[in-house]
Amino acid sequence: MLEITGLTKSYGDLRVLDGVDLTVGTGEVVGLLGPNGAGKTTLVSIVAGLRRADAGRVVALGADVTADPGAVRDRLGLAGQELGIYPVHTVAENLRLFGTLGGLRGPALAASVEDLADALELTDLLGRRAGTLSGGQKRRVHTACALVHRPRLVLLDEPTVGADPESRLRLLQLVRRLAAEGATVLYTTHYLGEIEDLDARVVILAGGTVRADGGVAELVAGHTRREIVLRFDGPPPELDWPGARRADAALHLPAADPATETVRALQLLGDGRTRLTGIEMGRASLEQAYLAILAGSGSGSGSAAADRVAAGPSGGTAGAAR
Amino acid sequence: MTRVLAIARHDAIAMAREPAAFVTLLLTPALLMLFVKPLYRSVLAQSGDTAANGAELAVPAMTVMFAFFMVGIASEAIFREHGWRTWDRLRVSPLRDWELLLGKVLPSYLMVLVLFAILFGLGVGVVGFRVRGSVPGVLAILLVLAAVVVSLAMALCAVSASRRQAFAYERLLALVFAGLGGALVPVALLPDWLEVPARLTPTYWAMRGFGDVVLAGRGFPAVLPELAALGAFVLVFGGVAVSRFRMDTARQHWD
Ligand SMILES: Nc1ncnc2c1ncn2[C@@H]1O[C@H](COP(=O)(O)OP(=O)(O)OP(=O)(O)O)[C@@H](O)[C@H]1O
Ligand SMILES: [Mg+2]
Repeated sequence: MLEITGLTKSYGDLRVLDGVDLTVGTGEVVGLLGPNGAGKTTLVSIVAGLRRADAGRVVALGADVTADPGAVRDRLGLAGQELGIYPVHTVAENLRLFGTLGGLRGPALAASVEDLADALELTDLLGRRAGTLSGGQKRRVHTACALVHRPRLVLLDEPTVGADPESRLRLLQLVRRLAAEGATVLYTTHYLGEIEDLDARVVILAGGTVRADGGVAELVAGHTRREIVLRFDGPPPELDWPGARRADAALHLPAADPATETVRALQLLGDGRTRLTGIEMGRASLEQAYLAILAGSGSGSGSAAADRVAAGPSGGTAGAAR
Repeated sequence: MTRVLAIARHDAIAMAREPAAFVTLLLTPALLMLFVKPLYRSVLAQSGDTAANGAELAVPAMTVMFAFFMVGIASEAIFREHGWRTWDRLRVSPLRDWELLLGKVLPSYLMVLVLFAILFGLGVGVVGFRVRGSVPGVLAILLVLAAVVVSLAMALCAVSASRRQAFAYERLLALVFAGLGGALVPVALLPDWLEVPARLTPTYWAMRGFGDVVLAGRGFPAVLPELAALGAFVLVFGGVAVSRFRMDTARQHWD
């Protein structure tokens, strides 16, 4: 359990966090999103006790971190945004050091190293010096070092930067497993598809405050509109449909339930059907919701921003592909 | 204590994998010992000690001079963690601050002692170094001198924002200590007015102690004042280190 209330932090005149409230339950994964410079890394560093907050409270695993930054260190795993591994040491030596510092000994340490190496596909690399690995491999070692002592509070700051699709899937699997085993996980990323895959609760940080907080489905439903896209050979016909928008060779029809409403749209089309070349049912993505939330001030589905974002045909197809 | 040993072991591995610096720290004084030995023999002969072969001064002098170039062993141990960005990882681990620092200081101290041992070993085996008085006296001076080196390193880490800055201080102090303290030219040959500033260098006390037991053939009690003086340097440097060292300083490695 992680409870952050009223967290405020400035660097000089720059107020990065301005009253952030955020809770992550035990066994829950929260995806912390936000544009570059939103303060995600700052927030994570404060939770880890690396930086001091100006105001506010962080209670992690029952201990007040703002009062005593060292209180949860034995149960904390932080994989920071910046790579931090020992290049002249082997992968195994890197993992064993952090396992030992975290209190593991002997067979328990060996088992944990083996388990993590397996989960993050590092088994064949254990004997290699970390400095000789590829960028994505280093990032996996970096993440594994944060998890090897079996932390209860897991802070992962962009752990999938530079990861190939397979490593990404394995990492997401591991994150799900950690949560299922009862860890409290705060996960930062710019790849919104990962958050959809994790089906994590989403917190969007921007302008120093939490701009949205909710499940993926909830945010997508609240901040985007689903739509049907009808493509034509030539200019699309006029259609009596609330919110309909005509593009070059396509007709965008907002729809709460695209599957059933497509039938009605086709009926309304009548003779226009003969020139029809394709139908797409855009299931809006988290990315669209995210952009809408950042563009507007986080208002509901009727906002201009949501319209603009949901209207993009490529965005709609991308959503459907996921 | 397991955590201290884990850090110390980890650092020892790092040292073993990058031995180039140690080779330089050994080869240079070892060669210089051979070169300056005849020089010191004539110096000693002029002062009336015709039985001496020069190694009695050459071996301690070069060791003490290069001891202060070994400061970099311990400061590098701190700064490379910043360069590798592992410092913050160690800070969020359950390691307590003193455990981390002790884990850094221990292998550095041992490494300095190993270098001393090799230099004196070469001195005995190759250069013809003999101790006329108390051998334990020589060992005690080396043990405390190594502590001076490491505590100076930690003091420099505490006041430097980067390895580059610490390195500049290291080189300056190493040369000043060697020049003033009688590791380049015996203090007796320096102008009288330098006697007082010479006493402000640890080199002076180490060389004086070696003079007592190696050349004058005196017993262990003779070096107690010098050991105390060197101990005072450990306290001063250690005091600066402890009072000024901040765990949350964002130190830079080389750039
Ligand atoms: N040590 C620092 N000193 C001064 N300003 C800082 C410092 N660290 C971060 N900042 C500033 O604070 C703001 C938030 O930075 P932070 O790294 O927390 O953002 P972020 O959300 O993690 O961004 P990204 O997605 O790029 O990782 C930025 O404007 C950054 O320039
Ligand atoms: Mg960041």
